[in-house]
Amino acid sequence: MTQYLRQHQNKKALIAIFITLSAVAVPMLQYNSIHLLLFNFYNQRFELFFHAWEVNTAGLINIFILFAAGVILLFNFTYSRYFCGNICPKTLLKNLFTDIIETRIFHLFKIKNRDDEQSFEKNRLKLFFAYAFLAVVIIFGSMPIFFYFIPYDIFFSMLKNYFLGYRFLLYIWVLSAIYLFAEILFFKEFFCAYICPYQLVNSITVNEQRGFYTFDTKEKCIDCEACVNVCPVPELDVRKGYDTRCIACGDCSAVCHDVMQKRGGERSLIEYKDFIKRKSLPYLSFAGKRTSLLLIALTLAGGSLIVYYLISPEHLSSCNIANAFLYRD
Amino acid sequence: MFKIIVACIFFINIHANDILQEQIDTENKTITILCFYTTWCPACKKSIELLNEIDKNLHTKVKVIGIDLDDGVKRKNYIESLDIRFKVIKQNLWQARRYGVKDSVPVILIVGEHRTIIKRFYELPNRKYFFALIQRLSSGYLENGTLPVQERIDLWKKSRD
Repeated sequence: MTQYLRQHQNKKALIAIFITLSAVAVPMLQYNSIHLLLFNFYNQRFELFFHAWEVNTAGLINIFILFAAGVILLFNFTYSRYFCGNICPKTLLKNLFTDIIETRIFHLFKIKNRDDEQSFEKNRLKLFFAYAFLAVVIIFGSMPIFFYFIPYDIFFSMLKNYFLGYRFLLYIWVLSAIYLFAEILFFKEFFCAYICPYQLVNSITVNEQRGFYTFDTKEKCIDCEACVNVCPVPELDVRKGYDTRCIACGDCSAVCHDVMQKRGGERSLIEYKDFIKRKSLPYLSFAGKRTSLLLIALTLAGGSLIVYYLISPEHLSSCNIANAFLYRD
Repeated sequence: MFKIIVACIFFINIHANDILQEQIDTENKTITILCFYTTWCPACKKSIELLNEIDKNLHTKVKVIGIDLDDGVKRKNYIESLDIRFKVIKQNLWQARRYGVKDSVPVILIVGEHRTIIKRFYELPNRKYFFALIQRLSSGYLENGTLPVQERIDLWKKSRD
């Protein structure tokens, strides 16, 4: 009886496929060998919207940090915590493991309860295969991260030569894969709730209007605790009210829908408060429309000013000969 | 056929090398500065300004040679406005690889006695540091400001005598 939960997870899987494809496609799009977005550490240039500027490695690192901070801020001002449960690539990878590999392919756990320790001891062989499957997914899945820093064709030619002369890339690849593997097996949503920098920015401005899933009708609740069991964040109870740790994945709402359906009710007790239903405005979830728009404009303007300062040729201390074509008239 | 091609390549390289070494040998000065540059590179413009200044101030002690690595394709000329006062030789990138020019310009080499390379810069050096270094080297000191071993006075021995 987990019809709605399955539907909800299928929907999230579809979003995951779309986001993965677009994230892989962005650094691959190119025109005259200049990419849509690339922090080109191989040829020391910054490429954006099919334009390129020569920047030293130190400048490129600065631009990348600025870019990451800007993306974190902009998502915080608009999608807020909805980003974490539905758009964040790390959560999508974790969902792939728990919702599809573990429960549907290998039937290790019941879909409702993911922390069942008894089945953990029963099916060790199955669990091993599940981990091996995840390892393969992670090793190939962490490869497109490099495409944002090295042109993909050059990365593949390095791969053909077993990273000869670029052995550190292999180490970075293996280390990041091990880290992701450990995080998906052990930390899970503990990372999202306490460590993630996105969460740190988000928790500065606590606002109750940003709660995406709210529990309202208390009279009908039967205390089955299905929503607490299904919740991926440790020790989080959605019935107690708004919590900054909630990543808005929506599993509690779907599982409550299933339970209520079984008992003759019609809809879930935990409601999805849509962007449109909020008091502030459709898209901006932070402190009203004017403040949000002002903050977005400030981040965009400030960030682009600093980038404009960094890409000017006065800061160059040496020029790459491969970049000679940038200086054509 | 293959042998002839190899011989030709060797001949070209050795010939180019000889040209540069002749330039280094012609005058009796303590150090020579070689600067490999291209005309489109904005960083090379600054290095040429630096070397112009050195050529002007330390003309008697230091010899400056510029090596132009342009391939003849028309680009934005950053250096056109400068009047280069030192000697300039034209070479291509293939020939310059012998001196350690790999991916980037400018490359600045400081050559001492017996054509030994004392220092290599693979980017624009710090102006203050570069001037101090050149002044030390051109007045007969080592890179760190001390005298060569043969010229040092042994104070311990001196006080015994």
